[in-house]
Amino acid sequence: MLTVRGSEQFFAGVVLLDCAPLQAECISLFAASSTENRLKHFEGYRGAAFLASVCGRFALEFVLWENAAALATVQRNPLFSEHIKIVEHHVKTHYVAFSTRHEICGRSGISFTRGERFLCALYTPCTPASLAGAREQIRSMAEVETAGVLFHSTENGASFVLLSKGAFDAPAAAALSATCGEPAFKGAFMVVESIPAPSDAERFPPPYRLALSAA
Amino acid sequence: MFEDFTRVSVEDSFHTLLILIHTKPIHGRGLLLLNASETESRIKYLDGFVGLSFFVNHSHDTIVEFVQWQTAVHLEAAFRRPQFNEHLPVVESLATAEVGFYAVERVITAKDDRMDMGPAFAGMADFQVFTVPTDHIDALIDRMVHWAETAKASAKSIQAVVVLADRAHGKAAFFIHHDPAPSDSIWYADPEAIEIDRASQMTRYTSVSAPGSAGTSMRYVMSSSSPANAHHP
Repeated sequence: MLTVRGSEQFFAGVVLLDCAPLQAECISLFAASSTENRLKHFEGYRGAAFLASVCGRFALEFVLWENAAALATVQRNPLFSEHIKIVEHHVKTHYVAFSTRHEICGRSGISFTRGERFLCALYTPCTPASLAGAREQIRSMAEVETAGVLFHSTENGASFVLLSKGAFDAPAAAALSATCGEPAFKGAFMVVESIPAPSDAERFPPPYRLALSAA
Repeated sequence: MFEDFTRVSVEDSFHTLLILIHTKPIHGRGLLLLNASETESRIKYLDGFVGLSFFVNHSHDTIVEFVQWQTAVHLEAAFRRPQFNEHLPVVESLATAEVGFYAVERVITAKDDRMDMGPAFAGMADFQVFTVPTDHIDALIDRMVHWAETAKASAKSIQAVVVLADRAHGKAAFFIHHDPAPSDSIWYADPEAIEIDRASQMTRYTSVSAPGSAGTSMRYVMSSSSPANAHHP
């Protein structure tokens, strides 16, 4: 189980994939397996959660790296991109954002447990004023106190994603819409797998290689 | 999530395999995810695949796979396909595996002679395998069924007991399924049979069933980082 603590400031990424005609669970499990067996052993890996939409079409990944430099370093390793090339071949990338601008609202941390349900909402485009307003609104929402919300925005603040364990009540959702407009995407997801960073004793070399097949 | 469901019954007498995978704890989660991913993304699309349920113990050093194919011929054909066999050298490089070919002899439940492994049945399972001379297998199965019926009636945690047999090799196996809540293992002992495998307190990780009309296989090539070995079904 992955737990993201509000006190941690990592380089975080949100990746939303449109998987049709594949099943989202298939992509999530494939990416989770590649991460468990290969990616998590790279220096700088701090955790990842893999979610599939309840409708079966969208896969959502939330990944944490120590910092941008650590991610840039591993991206130069051919092993790192092997599974990504396969995923990208099969799906359409709906949204990708990596930044240090993430926050856990309402609780000290948020955990991703297999089978747990999350609601995801993507707001784009945003202005600096609407982003700041939305952030304050989310912090003050009553539901956030009990469920917790993960807030992640792009470095330039042009868009943001909310991941919450419960739905906002109608007035809170309306207030958010008044500030930021309707979400460009929203959906219910379930956690397929989450993979925390390994201890040094758990590290091992990647046991397999991956490549796109010619046919 | 997934088509997270397989059905086990005597009537649907599929070609059933029980695979025990033993590995180091640090590789257990990786192998579990690898096998589940391979099944979900490629193997389930092969002709004749019925279902596969994955179980893992608490320390992640033992994985049990309950595998169903329509016939042995389907499995043999699948075995020759890269979508099926590419991941096997990876597994072999990190683990040892024991494979047994069984038939479902009895499914002992509260309702009828079948059980569904899926989201509604996400509990723990105990697993045992016994061996006797082949001409004693029917008597062993009778004793196991009698014991299972008694155990099912007396132990509230037991939801179902599946009795399987490999008659040709004089082997019989138990899958004892418990409630989702943690409970003590319940073991069968038989002075006339030799217990050859035991895996306790397994948690069902997921089940993968044959696809419906929706969905399509992923296309990629996997190669082990270790030298390849020969494989036979």
